[in-house]
Amino acid sequence: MTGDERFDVVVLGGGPAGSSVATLVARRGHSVLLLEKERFPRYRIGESLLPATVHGLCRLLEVEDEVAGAGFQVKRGGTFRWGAGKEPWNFLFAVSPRLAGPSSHAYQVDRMEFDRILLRNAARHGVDVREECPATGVLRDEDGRVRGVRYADRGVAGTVRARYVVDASGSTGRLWTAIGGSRHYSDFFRNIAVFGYFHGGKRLPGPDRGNILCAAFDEGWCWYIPLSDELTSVGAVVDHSRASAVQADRVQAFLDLVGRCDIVSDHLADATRVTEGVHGQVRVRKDYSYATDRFHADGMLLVGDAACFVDPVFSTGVHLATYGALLAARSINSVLSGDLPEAIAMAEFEGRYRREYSVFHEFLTAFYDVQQHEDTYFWQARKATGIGDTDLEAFATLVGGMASGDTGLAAARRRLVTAGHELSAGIAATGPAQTPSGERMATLFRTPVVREVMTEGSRIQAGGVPGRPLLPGGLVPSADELGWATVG
Amino acid sequence: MTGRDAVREHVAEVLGQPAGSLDDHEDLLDRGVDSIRLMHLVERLRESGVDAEFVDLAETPTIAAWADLAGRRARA
Repeated sequence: MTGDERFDVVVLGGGPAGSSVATLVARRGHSVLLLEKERFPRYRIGESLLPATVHGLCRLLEVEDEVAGAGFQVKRGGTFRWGAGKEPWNFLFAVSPRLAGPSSHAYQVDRMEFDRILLRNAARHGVDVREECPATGVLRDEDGRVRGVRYADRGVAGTVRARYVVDASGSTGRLWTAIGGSRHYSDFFRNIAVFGYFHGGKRLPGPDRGNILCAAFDEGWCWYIPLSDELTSVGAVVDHSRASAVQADRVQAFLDLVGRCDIVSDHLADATRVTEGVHGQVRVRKDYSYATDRFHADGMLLVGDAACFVDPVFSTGVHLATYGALLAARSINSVLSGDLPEAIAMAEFEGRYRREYSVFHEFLTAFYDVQQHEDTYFWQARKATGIGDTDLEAFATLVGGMASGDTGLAAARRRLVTAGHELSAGIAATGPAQTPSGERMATLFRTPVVREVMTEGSRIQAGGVPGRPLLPGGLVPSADELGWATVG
Repeated sequence: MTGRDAVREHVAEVLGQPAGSLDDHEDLLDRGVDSIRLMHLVERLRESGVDAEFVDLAETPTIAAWADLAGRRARA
């Protein structure tokens, strides 16, 4: 009985990427069906956001005020016990204290609530949202183009046809393989995370109380995210080889690892681990970084963790996912309206998304390299000088324009090593948190690898800026920011 | 093209204030330039052929300093 349903676009998955692409396509008046396999609210990790999401993306979703009013912990940046110095240092979103207004803030969010707000907002914008409806396969026409999906609605099979299918079903979805590519994992970031929650953890002093704290220790690093005055999200990221030992006794492994990270252990001195409810579990997940070798093909697009994932130390998860969603929506809208040929619109989606993934990947490689003085197994294996050829090839391909063969690999390695050195120098010059120099980010922001990662986020946040193309010969956002326009 | 007058016009438009009310040496953060407006100014200067950087504008927020910068960073 649902066999004849037709929509312009079907979105698989109701997380931030799925809700965003659905809302942004619906805002142009197109019909959108969103199929979510779970019932919201549901738990997710990835709680620390960046300003581009809470201002730029949420502005375009017309949900900025609701997010601002939800009572999420305000975050002015990240505090890091990371690198050569013993004192924590800050990466603040505001370049200087005088520019530290609300537009330089992000939030720490309970993803059950944040994702629910975005999904409800999608429905409010006219998206047909169906929960507990997992997609089970794609439909193709005689030419092999994806034309819809099969799904299960409380055990009843249904089919729906659409001009585009967007897979935003996360890292555990299965339908991304319909795109015909494969997923490439980075050897450099083969980490696992083990994480849980505490009540009563200490807070960083003064204006840093809402910051995420990331602290390196011998065996990896820990995150410490203040979700509210009471609740703290804590995780340890360690080498993948420890997975079976961690799985054998998650709680003990978690407490042991956190206990060996001095600054986090100090902050938890008077805290108690939450043992009941949704925050009462200790969870384990792979934090491998990966990208699928194509993000679109023949009527289907991948966004969010279905497309790529990059190491979480810089709070990039939701940004990268919703950025991909914004690009996908612009490209789909431009084709549906007849403004652009599909090939050109999709090349812009794929090119910009891959660029953003690669600049974060480069930044994070440099960020790990900042710990190069450490001689433990975990950190030895994560120096830019020792990065493997497979990863270098992938990097050279992502960046593009690099020579092939040994020369290209040597150049790619040199570039990553240089980025690490420059970042270390920038951190050293900035100095410890809450000192006069440590409150000013100009030196860090001038570091090339940092400037690159902030370029697109700033533009999205500013909005309405008359753009030059990001990619050579590429497109610029349309006036309403919901599509693409050609230059000139 | 990117002298003080041109820079003053950009600032006036972004702030929505008359160009004549802006002094070349006053601190523009006191006049309401915030991070978002700075991003808009960066884009405007780039469109007029200047390789402006957000950080540079933020560090010395005066029309005089920005005009000097524009002179140095003008693309041939």
